[in-house]
Amino acid sequence: MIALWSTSIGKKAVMAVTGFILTGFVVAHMLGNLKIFQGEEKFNSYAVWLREVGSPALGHQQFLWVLRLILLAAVALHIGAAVQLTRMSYAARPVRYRRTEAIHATYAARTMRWGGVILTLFVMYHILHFTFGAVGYAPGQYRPMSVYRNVVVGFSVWYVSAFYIVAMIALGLHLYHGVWSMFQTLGVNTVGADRFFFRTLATVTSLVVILGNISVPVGVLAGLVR
Amino acid sequence: MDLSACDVLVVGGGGAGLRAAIAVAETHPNLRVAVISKVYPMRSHTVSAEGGAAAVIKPGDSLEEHAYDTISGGDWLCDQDAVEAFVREAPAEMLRLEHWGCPWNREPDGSIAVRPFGGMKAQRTWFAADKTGFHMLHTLFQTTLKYDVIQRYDEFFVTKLLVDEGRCQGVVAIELGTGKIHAITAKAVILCTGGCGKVFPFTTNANIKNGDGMALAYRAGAPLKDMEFVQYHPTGLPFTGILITEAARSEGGWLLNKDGYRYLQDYDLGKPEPRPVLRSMELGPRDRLSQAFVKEQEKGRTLEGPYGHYVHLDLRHLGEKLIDKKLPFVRELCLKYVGIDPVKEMIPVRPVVHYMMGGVSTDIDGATPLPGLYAAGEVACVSINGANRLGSNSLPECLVFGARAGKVAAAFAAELKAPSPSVLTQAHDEERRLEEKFRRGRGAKERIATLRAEMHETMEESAGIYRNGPALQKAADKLRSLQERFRHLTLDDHSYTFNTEQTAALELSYMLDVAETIVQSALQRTESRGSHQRTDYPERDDKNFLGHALAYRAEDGPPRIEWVPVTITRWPPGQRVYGR
Amino acid sequence: MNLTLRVWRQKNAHARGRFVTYEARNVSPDMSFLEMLDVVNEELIGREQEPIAFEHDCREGICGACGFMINGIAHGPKRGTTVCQLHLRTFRDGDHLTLEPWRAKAFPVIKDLVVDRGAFDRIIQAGGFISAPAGAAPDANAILVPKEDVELAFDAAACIGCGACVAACPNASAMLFTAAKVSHLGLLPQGQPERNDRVRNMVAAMDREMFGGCTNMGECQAVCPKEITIAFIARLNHDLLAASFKGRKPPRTAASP
Repeated sequence: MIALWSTSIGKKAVMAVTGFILTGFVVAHMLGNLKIFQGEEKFNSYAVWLREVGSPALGHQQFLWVLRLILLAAVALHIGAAVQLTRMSYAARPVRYRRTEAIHATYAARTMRWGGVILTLFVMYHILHFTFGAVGYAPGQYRPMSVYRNVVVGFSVWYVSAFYIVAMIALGLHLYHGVWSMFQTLGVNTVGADRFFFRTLATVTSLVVILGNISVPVGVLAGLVR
Repeated sequence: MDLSACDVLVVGGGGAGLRAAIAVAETHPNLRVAVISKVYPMRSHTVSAEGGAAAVIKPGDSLEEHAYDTISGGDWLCDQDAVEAFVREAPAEMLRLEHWGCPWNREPDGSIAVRPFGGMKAQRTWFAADKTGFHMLHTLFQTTLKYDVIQRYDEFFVTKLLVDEGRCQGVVAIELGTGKIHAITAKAVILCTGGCGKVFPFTTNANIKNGDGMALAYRAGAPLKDMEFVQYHPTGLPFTGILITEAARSEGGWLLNKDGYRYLQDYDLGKPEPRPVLRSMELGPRDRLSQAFVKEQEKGRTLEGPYGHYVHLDLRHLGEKLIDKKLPFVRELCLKYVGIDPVKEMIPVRPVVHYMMGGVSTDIDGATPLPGLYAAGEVACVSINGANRLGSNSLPECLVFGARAGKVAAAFAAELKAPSPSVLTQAHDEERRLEEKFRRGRGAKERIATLRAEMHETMEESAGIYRNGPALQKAADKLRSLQERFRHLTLDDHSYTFNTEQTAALELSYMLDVAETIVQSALQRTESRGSHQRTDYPERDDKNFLGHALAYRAEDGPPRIEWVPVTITRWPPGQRVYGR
Repeated sequence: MNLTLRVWRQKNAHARGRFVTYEARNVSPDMSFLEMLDVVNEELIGREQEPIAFEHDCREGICGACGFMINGIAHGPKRGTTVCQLHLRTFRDGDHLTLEPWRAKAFPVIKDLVVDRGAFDRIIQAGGFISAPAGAAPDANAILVPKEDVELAFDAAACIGCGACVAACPNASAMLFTAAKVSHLGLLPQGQPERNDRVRNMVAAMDREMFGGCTNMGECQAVCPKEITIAFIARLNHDLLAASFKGRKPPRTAASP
């Protein structure tokens, strides 16, 4: 295992596996978010359910914490590997070209690192925003466990919604390259037909996540979600 | 001056050179073997060989047939004992190459695929798409990398062979990257530097083919054999001279003159059939096809373009699918260099100089008359190719004789003690000569490019496909005067790192030596045989000329020619018959 | 036609280097790019200036010697073409072209546009060959090789080792080169016994040479003159991961073959 980590390919493989976990989380989270369109009661009871998953075998919020720890580990490994690989890449070309031209690399591919930085900052804001109510609310506006209320109030601030929408596009770009990249890095898509399939899968995942997620702030601003 | 030593030194890192190095490493693993090359081994000219490599493999084929095809193709100038050894060892060498990772084309049933080739009665040419030389060279190169005993001197230019106590004991070379002079002593030296196509203006050969090894051996006192036999490949692109492989014809391509007529049928090469017929028409031997072109040109039936006369090679009837599968490189070359697509248009072609049948005289094992000096590949003349080489015989030649030369050179080196110290004095002399010639002096009176252009003009006019006495004599005199003028050459570029002007000057000096031997041998062979055709002596003369011309360096003046008979074993001289 | 060239000049590996502008006047659109440079160099020699050093050999796109960046694209703007195959008709009269050598830590510049590609050698040396002793070669027809495998092996083996992939990659990664060799040998029956060791050793060698890591951008594929695709990189990734989970043998080194 350690030997694998020491190779550049091994580090990428770790990014692929952790990326897979994170992508899975993002998709599930997006599906959960859409529940807001089912109305206040359903949405709030979903939040309660999340904290009681597995009871009586698991205690209050236990499942949620296990999930959080897994995600934290995945993020740490994903970013850790990315940082190491980035440093290797910069060291690999100490003298820069006077002129460069990208022929095949997509905008998404070229912005993975900065996209990742933006997404990290976004995630930190998002947790402080909806999980703790520490930002984005006037004093007293945030009520723990009144998730429906919190979301509607939070997204009613147009520049916060705008920020989320931009972040979702960044997420979409990251997924557009990342999901396809996962399968390339793990060497799954070696046969011709597979390559078309995985490219389509990545595009669809990316679009679905973007649209699914921005439907919420857009819905709030448009008055569909009150 | 830098000094290093090894046991066996291989000059040239192409097919023959790398095979020789591997043979040394395999048979005598305790010997230090070094490969010295003026280019990185993967860039040696073997890499451009396209069509294929012949070896008996299919049922219904036999070693006797391969030998007969080779001997008759060579117009009976081949040493038959060498040919017999060659056809016998070729299949094993080719299989060994596959074991080392060379991807040979396979039939749908998974067996080795072979294609027909010029002058061969049976299909026995193995191929790797149309980049056979490329795959062979890369396989050999990778294989040399697994032997730690094989040391490499990449981008070192050898300027002299060190000869002392009657044997070859090493080389002096310039490290091109730094300009530093090195003396490398060795107990045996194997020359694998390839041919000398660049002596002529239009050739398929790359710029590196200047006859280096031939000139080095010549200057060291070893004779050059059969130098008058220069092969013109019938289908090269005009101006660039880039080779369009014979495989294009073996897959079914036609040669058409300006009237769209398959003109080869007028030259006793058979009747035109829709599909290729072995040893007939477009699959005749290269010398006869090139000669037919000249005759067509004299009749005014060739086309004329901005770069001279040409005829058409028509592949359109083969179809896009076959061309992409069997001749992808041909298509790529035509599209990129001429801007035409062979699927839709005809390719302009003309004969261009391609291969040197002659070279450093060796015996059946690759040993030259100078003890300690060996040669293999195109630089050598054993001779298995005689007066005309059959296509796809030269790649296995590199393997078979590379291996042979490697083995005997290693055995020779294993018996010897270290080289004598007086060799170093010679090396210092050479260093001084190089310094004086190339580092002092300014304001060149003679230019390299001018001398080279004049040499080219002379060779093209006088030593082409058809020759005659007066023209050859004129050429001999002209080359003598060029040699004189070369003495007054000085360089403008005095840098040390990659001094390309110095390299060009050294290469020109080699080419002038080699050109003189070509012309002198051609002058003295007053008969026509294979690729050497004299309009003043149009018949083959077995009584007087069933022998090899050996060119020895004379102190001041043209080379001295001596004769040695051809070895005949089982095939007495006969008529070369094609198309019947 | 006339062209303006901004060429990187560097006296040797330790010198600083800078861009110098040259004019290529009255060159024919039918000329190859390197022929144009020859013409420029002739002029420089005539003015007693040092000619531009660049690698070249076969001039037919097969030897892998030539290669430099033209306006930021390895081997110039035409796909599947080396600089020696590139002809001036691709450009327009008056075009400004910037010529730079391959830039990577693993490819130190030797002079002007010439770089040292010994790193590629060392990757091959780590395992890009077959060591199974050949012994007495059996009949080649006895080991049948499926045609599709051979064709794919051919595509991979077509790599000429020019280094354009490294030059074009934003990370200066040598994955396409390594993948081509690993795939070629890994697809043939004689390559199977050492398949795991080969891929582990070659990837370790690749990393040792200080190439960057692959981020699946695909720039390499776009500039490869032999049009080798990143599907082979997927193969390489697969082979390495598979090899890492199978039996372990210590890597081959010069000290312990």
